[in-house]
Amino acid sequence: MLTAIIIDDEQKSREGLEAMLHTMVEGVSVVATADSVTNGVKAIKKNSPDVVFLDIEMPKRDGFELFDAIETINFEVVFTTAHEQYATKAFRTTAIDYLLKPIDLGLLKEAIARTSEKREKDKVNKNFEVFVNNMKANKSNQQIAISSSDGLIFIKIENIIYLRGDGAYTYFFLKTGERITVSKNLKEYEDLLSDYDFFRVHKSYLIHMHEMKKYVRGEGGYVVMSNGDSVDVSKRRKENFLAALSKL
Amino acid sequence: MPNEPLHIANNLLNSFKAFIGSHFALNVVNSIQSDVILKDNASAFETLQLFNRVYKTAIRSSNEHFVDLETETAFLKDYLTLEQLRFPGLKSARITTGNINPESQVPSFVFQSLLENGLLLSLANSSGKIRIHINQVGDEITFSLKLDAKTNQPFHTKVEAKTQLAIQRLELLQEHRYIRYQLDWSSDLFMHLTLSKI
Repeated sequence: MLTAIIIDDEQKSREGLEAMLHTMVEGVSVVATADSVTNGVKAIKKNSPDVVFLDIEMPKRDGFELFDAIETINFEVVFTTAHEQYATKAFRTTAIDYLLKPIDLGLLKEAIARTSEKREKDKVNKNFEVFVNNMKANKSNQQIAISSSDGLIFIKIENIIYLRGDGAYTYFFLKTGERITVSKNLKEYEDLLSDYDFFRVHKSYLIHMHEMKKYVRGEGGYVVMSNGDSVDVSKRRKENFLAALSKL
Repeated sequence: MPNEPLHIANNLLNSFKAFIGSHFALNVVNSIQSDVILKDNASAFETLQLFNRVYKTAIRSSNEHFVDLETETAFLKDYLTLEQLRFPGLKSARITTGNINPESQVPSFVFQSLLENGLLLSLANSSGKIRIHINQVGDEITFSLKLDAKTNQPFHTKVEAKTQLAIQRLELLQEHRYIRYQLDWSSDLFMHLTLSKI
């Protein structure tokens, strides 16, 4: 259940949105409402909500001033306003959504669904970070947690043959023959696995050195992995790669 | 007005568009939606009635550079009541009239813009305490706003685009010798418009 705060100078607007969320939208609970940015900041500090519905045009301080008053924005923001012209500025700040008054119920439900999904992902990522830190502190626990669309997948590092990067995605190739896709770039795993004899042989490949069967010399050459896949070694990385091989 | 310059006609059209297409209309509909959700039928009905009158008057005024003072005053009072329904802080705001001739003519879409600007300023600086007075001495009609509090913000420092259109409208009408006007808003508590039709 998401917790929400509504900041709007208009009482009826606050009450209407609160009732809409309470009676027509699932998975959200309004924990506080505020009639100004100043009172909104107090409510946010007190309640630590998941999402803030924020009006923009308010007489004393406009909605954007909220971001000057709060150091760490650890909640999602959905702007609610009758002013369409603020949309671009809203998205440049931290807005996850922008709802034009009168609020359309369908769009409100979509905004809540998006917020919920983002909060869930953030939670998984946070858990992941904690896990990685724990793992680094205790090398005997040699597993890696990777976040997928429906949760965390735990993989023993010794079961990873190599990783291939493709833009914002990374593909894990495992001894079991599985291929797992993760929406993170390869660099993140390079940092994570550098202590476990993984080496970036190419901008698109990070290999587990213990899973190499053969290195074939060439301009950069290529490596044949334990599952038979060939992985190119870039010319630029060849020297460092050979140095790393000699230390194995 | 016969053979009126195109830019005056454009200004009237833009003033009308600014009113009906502004956030004001969307906020009123939002307010009605809230009433419906909260099952406050009486409030929804009252808001609809007021909005209906304001909207129809605005459509009628869009064809005329001048409207009679009786129509304009009723329009302003309905508009203010609508804003009071949305912002309870404005409940003490009142429009009073002096000795006016109801048939005297005033430019359309000018008083309302100045009033809207004043209401916003009063909500920001004086908890909605504002007095609005319309008076007439001979041919001269005055429209004044006074905030019942001290503020550091001069009236003219927070001017919405719509108000700028209204001021441009006054200037154009004066330039083409339809009216004479004088606007005093140098004080931070006070705005005073004097105008007379030529």
